[in-house]
Amino acid sequence: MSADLEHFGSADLKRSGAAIELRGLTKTYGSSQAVRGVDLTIEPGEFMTFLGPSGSGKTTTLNMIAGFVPPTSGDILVDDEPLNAVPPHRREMGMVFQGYALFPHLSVWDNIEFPLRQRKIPKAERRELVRTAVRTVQLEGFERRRPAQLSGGQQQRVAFARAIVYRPPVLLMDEPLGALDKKLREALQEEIREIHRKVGTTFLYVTHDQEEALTLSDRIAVYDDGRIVQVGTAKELYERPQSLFVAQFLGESTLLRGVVHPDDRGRLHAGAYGIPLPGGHTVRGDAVVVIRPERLRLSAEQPAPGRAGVPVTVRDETYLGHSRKLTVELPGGSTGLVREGPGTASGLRVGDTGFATWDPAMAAVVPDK
Amino acid sequence: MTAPSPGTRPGRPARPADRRAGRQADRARGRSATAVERAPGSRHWLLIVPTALLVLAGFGYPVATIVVRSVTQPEPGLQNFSWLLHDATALEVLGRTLVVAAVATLITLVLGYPYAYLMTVSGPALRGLLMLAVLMPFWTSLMVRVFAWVIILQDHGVLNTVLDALGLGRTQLLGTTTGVLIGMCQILMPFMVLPLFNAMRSIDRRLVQAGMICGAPPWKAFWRVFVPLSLPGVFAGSLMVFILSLGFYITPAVLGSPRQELLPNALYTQISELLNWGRGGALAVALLLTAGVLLAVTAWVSKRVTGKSAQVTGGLEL
Amino acid sequence: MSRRIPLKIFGALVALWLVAPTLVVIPLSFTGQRSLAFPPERWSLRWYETFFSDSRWVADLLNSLQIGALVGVLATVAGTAASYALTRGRFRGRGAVGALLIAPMLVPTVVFGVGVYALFLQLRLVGTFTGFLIAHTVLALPFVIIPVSSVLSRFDTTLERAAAICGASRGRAFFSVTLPVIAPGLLSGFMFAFVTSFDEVVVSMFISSPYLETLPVRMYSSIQRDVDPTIAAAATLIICFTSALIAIALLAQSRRRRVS
Repeated sequence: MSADLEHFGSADLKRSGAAIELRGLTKTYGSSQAVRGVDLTIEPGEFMTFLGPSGSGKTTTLNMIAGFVPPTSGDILVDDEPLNAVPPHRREMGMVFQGYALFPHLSVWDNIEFPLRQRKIPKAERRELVRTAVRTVQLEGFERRRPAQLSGGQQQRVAFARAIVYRPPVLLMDEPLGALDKKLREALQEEIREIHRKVGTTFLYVTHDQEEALTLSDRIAVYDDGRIVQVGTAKELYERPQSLFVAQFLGESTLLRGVVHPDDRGRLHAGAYGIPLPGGHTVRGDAVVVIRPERLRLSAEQPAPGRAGVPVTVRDETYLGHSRKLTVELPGGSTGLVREGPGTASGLRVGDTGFATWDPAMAAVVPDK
Repeated sequence: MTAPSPGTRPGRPARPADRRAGRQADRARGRSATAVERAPGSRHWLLIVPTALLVLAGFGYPVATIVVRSVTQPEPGLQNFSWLLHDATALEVLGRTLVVAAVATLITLVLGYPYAYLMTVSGPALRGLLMLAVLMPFWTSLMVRVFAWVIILQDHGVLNTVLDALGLGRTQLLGTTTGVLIGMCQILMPFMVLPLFNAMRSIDRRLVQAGMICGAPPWKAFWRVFVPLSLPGVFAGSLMVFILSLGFYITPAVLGSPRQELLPNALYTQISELLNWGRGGALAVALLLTAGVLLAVTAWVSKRVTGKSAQVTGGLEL
Repeated sequence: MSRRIPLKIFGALVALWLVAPTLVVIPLSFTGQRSLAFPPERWSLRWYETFFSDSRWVADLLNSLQIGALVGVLATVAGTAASYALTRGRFRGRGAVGALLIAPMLVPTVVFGVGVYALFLQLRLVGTFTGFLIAHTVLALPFVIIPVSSVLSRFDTTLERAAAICGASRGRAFFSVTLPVIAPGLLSGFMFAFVTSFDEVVVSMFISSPYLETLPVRMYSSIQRDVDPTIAAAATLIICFTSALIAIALLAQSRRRRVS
C-alpha cells in the first residue's frame, strides 16, 4: 500500500485527525449491560486499539461511536463537539467492517466511489480520488471486478480504500483482519501501520488478537466485561499490568500468588517464601506477582543479591530456533515459563532443579481476583 | 502523481470547521436526534399498515361475511349446520372431499419422495432438469393444464388410445373421481416436491455414511437416519397439498362428474345457483374448519416429532 | 451409481407426467377438425384465425395482460413494504399479521370468491377493473411476500450500516444498496404475482361480468359449453407467453450471475 502515500503525506493532512472523547458511555440491553461507563480520551491522529475478549463491549463502543447503536447514557465528543444527535451518515467517519460489507452489486471502482457520490463530489475529482485510493491499496487492474471475484485479502483492501477515499478524520476498524490467514494478516498489519503513519487520521481499531494490538497501536484500551480495565502503550500494558486480567490477556507470564501484609509492603508472602516486590505499588491483601518469561533467568545457584528467586524443577522445554522456552514447576506445584535467549542460556535440562531469578523492579504486582 | 491541490480539496468535507457546522445544523433541525435515539426497527411496522389494511378489507372482511351468513341466513340460528350434519348428500360430499384430499396427498408423497431424493443426490445438470419439470406446472396456466387433461382423459383421448393399444381396453376416465385425482396430483406435485427437496438438501449426507460405518446396512441407514431427518419436509409438503386439494374447484368441475361433487363445487352450487347463502356459508365454514384443524394438528405433531414447527411455506422460496 | 438406474427411470417418468400433458394442446391447436380428437388427422391455422377474429377472445386476452401487469406492480410494491416490516420490524402481533397476509394462499378460493362476490355486489365492483385489481392483488400478495421475505432475511444488514457510514441517508441506502441487492427476489415476486393474476379462474368467475372478463374465465366457460379447438389456440398462446416470460427471467438471472 505504499506506492502513492505521498498524497496522504502532506502537512495539511497530518492535522486532519480528530480528537475523540468518551464520557461515561453506557449501553444497556434490557437487564444486561454491554458497556458500563467508559471514559476515554483519544488524541488526534492516535492509533487506539480496543482489545478484549468477545462480548467485552469493545464492538458496542465502536458502534456507538459510528452511530449505529444509541448510547443508553454518556457522551461521545469529536473535536469537543457532542455527536449524540448526529446520525451515522453525517458523522464523517470511515469504517472497515468485520467481513468487509462490500456492496455485492457494485464493482470495486463503484464501491470505492460510493462515499464520494454520497457527498456529491464532481465527477472529475471523484475519478482522481478513487484512482489514488485504488493505487494506495494496490488494486490497479481490479477496478471492474465484483467483490465476489476477489480473494479475502483483496476484499479487505477494497474495504480499506472505501473507508479512506474521502479522507475522514476518524477511521473505525472492527476486526478488519479477522477472516484472513496469519501470513496475510501480518503483511496487512504492516501496511495499515504504514498508512496510519502517513495520513494522520485518528484510527480506532477493535480486535481480540493481543499480538495484533501490540504490533499496531499507539495505545491500547483493554476491555473486560463492559469496562476499560487499563489504557496504555503496548510496553506499559505488557510490563506494568494493573490487573491479573490484563496480565493474562496480554502475553505469557509466570504467576506467584501470596499475600501482601499492610505492615510489610515490600514482600509477598507465599507459603514459606518472602518475595521482594517492586517499589511504589499500592496492592494490599491477596496479590499476584507477574513475571514475563524473558525476565526470568534459570541457574543452578542461589539468586545473587538484589535479585529475587524461587527454587524450581524444569519439567519441559520447547526449542524456538533462536530461543528456547522452559516450563518449570514452582514451589506449591504451579508452573512458570522461562524464555532463554542465546545470551541467557542456563544449560539446565528437563528434570534438573535450580533457581528461577529475576529483578524485582521488572516484575509487576497485581491484586488477586 | 499530483496531490490534490489545497485549493480544491474535494474528498474532504471533513475539515473540523465544516464538520462542526454540519453537526450543529443537524442539531438545529433536531430530527436526526430522534432518528438515532430510537431503537432500530421500531418504526418499520408502519410499512405494513397499507398492505394489512388492504388484506383485511379485501380478504378478511369478505371471508368473515360468508362465515357470518352461515348463522344469520335465512334467519339467525344454527339450522344451516344442522342441515350440513344431517343431510345425507352434504355428508357424502364432505366425506368424499376429505378422502380425495387424503388420496391426493398420499399419491403426491409416494411419487414426490423418490423424485425429491433423486434431485438431492444427482448432479447439477440432472437436478436442473428435474427442477424445471417440477416448476413447469407452476408456470403453466391452470386452465391450460385442465384443458390438456380433458384431451388426454376423454373417451377417445390419448390415454385411452394407449390403453387400447396395450390391449387393456378403454375405460371411462373423464367424469370420474379417478380422472379428477390424476389431474389434481399433477397440479399439486410442486407443492410436495419443493418442501421435500428443501428438507433433504439440508441433510448432511455424511450422517447416512456414519450410520453405515456404525454397522447399519444401506437401506437401514437410509430408513433410520435420512428419512427421520426429512420429516419436516414431509409434514410441510403433505400439509400444503392436503389444504390446497380441499379447495380445488376447477379441476373437479371440468374433469369430474356433477354426481360426484366435491365440497367447493357444492358450495358454488348453493350460492350461485340456489342462492342459498346460509348453506353455502356453512359449507365454507366446514372447509375453513377442516383446514384450520389440520394446520393446528400438523403443527402439533410436527413439533412433537421433529422439534420444529412446520413451515407451511417451506417449499416456495424460489 | 448403477444402483440408481431404477430411481432415474422413475424420475424420468414422473417428469414426463409433469411436463408432457400440457404440451398436447400445442399440436391440437393446429388441428383441421372441429373436434378435440387427438392426434389430429388434418392440420390448419383456422383456430388461430377464429381466436384473433373474435373480438371477445382478444379483449379478454388484453384484459388479462393488463390486469396481470398492474397486479404484478401493486403486489410487488405492497408485498415488499410488508416483507420489510415483517423481517426488520419488532412489533407486537407480527406473527398474526404475517399469517393474515399469507392466508389468501391457503383459504380455498371458492370461499374467498363468494365472499368477495358478496362484498363487490354491495360496492358495485362486480365486473370492474378496480374489482379485479383488488381481488387479484390480495391473492398475489403471499407469492410476493414469501420470496421477498426470504431474500430480505438473508440480506446482510451491515451493508446498510456501511452505506450509512459512507454518507448515505436511510432512504438513499435503501435505494442504492438494499434494493439492488434484493432485486432478484423482487423480480421473482413480480413474476409470481403476474402469473397468479393471469391464471386466476375461480375468484375471477365470481367478479366478472359480460362486459369485463379475463381469458381464463372465457376458457372455463368455453370448456363448459361449446368445446371447439379455439381454446387450444388460446392455451398455446398462453404457453408461449409464459415461456417467454420465464426465459427472460432466467436470462436476466444468468446475466447477473455472469457479471458478479
